[in-house]
Amino acid sequence: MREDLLIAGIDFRRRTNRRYACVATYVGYILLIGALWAAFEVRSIALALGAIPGLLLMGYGWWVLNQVAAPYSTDQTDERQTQVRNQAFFRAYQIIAGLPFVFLFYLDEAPQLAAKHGWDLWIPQSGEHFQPIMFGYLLLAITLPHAFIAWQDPDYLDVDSPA
Amino acid sequence: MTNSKVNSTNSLFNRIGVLRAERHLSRQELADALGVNYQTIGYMERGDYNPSLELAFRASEFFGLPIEAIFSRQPFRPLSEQLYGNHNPTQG
Repeated sequence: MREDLLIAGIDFRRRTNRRYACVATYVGYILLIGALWAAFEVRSIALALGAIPGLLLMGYGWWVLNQVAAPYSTDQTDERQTQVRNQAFFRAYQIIAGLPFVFLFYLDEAPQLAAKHGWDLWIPQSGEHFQPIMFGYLLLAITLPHAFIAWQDPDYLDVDSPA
Repeated sequence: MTNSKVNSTNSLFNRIGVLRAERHLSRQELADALGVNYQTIGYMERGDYNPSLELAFRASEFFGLPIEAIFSRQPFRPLSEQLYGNHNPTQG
């Protein structure tokens, strides 16, 4: 009954907890990047230390997602597992393939919109601005299929026991 | 017209749970016999997963029953009702 998903006292056989893990992965990344960015701007090591909780949160969430999706990642899946995996990869592909176009569209339109309406839109200018976006995109590409599986699978408790 | 409306949810009903209980099989044992994961048996029993035609045939062979005795597009009537109808002895 997926005893491996009882991690550090948290029962990830419950869908609610798995959804928290999905959110934690991406919130952790935002905290990590936010702290590093702020530390770089202010030149503060104390702020850089603030990246550690984000790193831990992201790492933990990522590891949980890997654990949840482990049975779906082998070459011995049955027809239902293959179907769930294919669906998760398809949905992830749609987002991962679509995001660069959305980003390019934003890069193209943002300066014009800012000039026309006087909006203060953030436009990445340098490698330091692009790097967190690239790493975030990489994280999304790696974790999104697993996150979809963890998010949509129902609770693994009573009805799925092998007994 | 009525049937297509009834079946528009694309759900398939089955008697896997009843047949498994009758044969005193665990989900793991049935899963091993059908070559699937035990979780898949649980999903099928509660109607969250519709098996492929191949898996349906494997179940049919394993239980020694025709496919229509295991799977149906209409909800199954309880076995007792099928065997004895709605006969109520207290009503003579």
